[in-house]
Amino acid sequence: MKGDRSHELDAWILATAPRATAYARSLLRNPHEAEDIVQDCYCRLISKADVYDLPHDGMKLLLRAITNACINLKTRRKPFFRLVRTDADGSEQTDDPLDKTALPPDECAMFDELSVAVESALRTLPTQQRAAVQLKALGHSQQEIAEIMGITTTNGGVLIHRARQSLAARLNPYLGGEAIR
Amino acid sequence: MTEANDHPLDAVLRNHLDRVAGTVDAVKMLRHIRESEKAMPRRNWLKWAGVGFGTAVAASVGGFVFFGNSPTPLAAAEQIVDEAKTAHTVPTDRCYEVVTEWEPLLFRRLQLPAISRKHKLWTRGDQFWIETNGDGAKWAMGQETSGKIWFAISRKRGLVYEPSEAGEPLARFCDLVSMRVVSTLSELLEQFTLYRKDTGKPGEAIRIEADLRPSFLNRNPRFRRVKLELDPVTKIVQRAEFQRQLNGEIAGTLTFTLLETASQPDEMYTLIGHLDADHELFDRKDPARQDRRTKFRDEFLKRVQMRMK
Repeated sequence: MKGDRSHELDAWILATAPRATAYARSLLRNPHEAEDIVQDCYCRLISKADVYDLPHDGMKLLLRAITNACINLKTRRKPFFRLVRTDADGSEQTDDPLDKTALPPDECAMFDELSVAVESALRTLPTQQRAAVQLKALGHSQQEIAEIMGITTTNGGVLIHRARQSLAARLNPYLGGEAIR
Repeated sequence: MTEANDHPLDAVLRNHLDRVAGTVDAVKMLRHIRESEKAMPRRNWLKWAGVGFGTAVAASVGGFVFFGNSPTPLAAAEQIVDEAKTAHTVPTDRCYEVVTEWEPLLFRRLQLPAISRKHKLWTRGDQFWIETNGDGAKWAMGQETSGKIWFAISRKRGLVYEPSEAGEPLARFCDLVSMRVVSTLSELLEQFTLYRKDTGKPGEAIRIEADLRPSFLNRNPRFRRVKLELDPVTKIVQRAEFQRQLNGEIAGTLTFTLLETASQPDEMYTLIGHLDADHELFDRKDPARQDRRTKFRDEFLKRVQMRMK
């Protein structure tokens, strides 16, 4: 009986890990950290497997844990150096030197042109918008997104709307204007 | 706001997520999860086994002592580091030479060239100050016991950052190139697995290596690997090598070597000790001067970056 339960959990992990990891990667932009976080979230959930019916309800709990962990990690970080540049009008601006939209060459090679554009466009979004719009794309309702992200339904809707607007502006050239709605 | 279920972007995003998901090795992840699960009971088992083994060792050592043969067991690395922490709590002034070797890839991404620099760090307990006069410019920085960070960017001008302003670029720069001995040793005890690498022969320096213990609670550690050389009698750090991390990436290696133990005036650990009488001070307390503090900080950073080229 215990063996059956363990096999059921293994099957659940195998089925959900790819999408959960893809989601965490898009929030963090660092595949290794994303995998670590997903793994930790699985471990925490499995330790409570006697409380939750993970094969049936686990995905939502998993996404909630991943979202919280990724947002916590992102908000703890600040750019190390802000370099100073002078604008054409002579005023000085400080910038984070890391170009957040730039993909490392190995990731560029992994995706086709549209996928690279999607990845670059996603990187320009604030983490919460990125999480909301991707959860929506994964088929979750606004109510579920609100529960996963710990926000109100209205706030969830606003995040999705703003994310779609930003993404549409960047992806329209690739989608022939289809993204604008 | 109405809920749109079939927005054209949803399919695009879903396809993209699926493509990324296709690169994930779920079997490997499952294996790691199962290994992590096993690690916990195993640690408990090891703990009890350790207690049993320790008792047996203690009994046999006791036997040797009782019957006149007394091999001295090596003290555990944790115990040595704890003793070193106590030794460094005593307010004595020590000067370390600091050699920094930065990771060229990371610094290229930060638009800084690879640099190798030497400077001197004076430390007393958990406070320190650094003076650098390389590259033709003399400036000093330091951290007080309270955690307050200061920069004497010239003899006339000083910048101060409170502990709550740890995200400030200069505060992070200071953290990257310095060492708070007592705090660092506490960090090693809490977050690292420590190993003794010396043989324990009389007169031989105690060598300890520390590897970061991966933990969910310790997501952004400052060091990945640390090597210490301690005086076998006083337990004072003679040499320390830190592999520094920045946002999860290796930033470089810093080596601290003890040069001398001498007395320093108290004011050298404060900003005032590095400024002339007619100095200007910029801290958080005066909101009217915030902009000027930011301006001088940026000018200073720019100057440092220019000199690194």
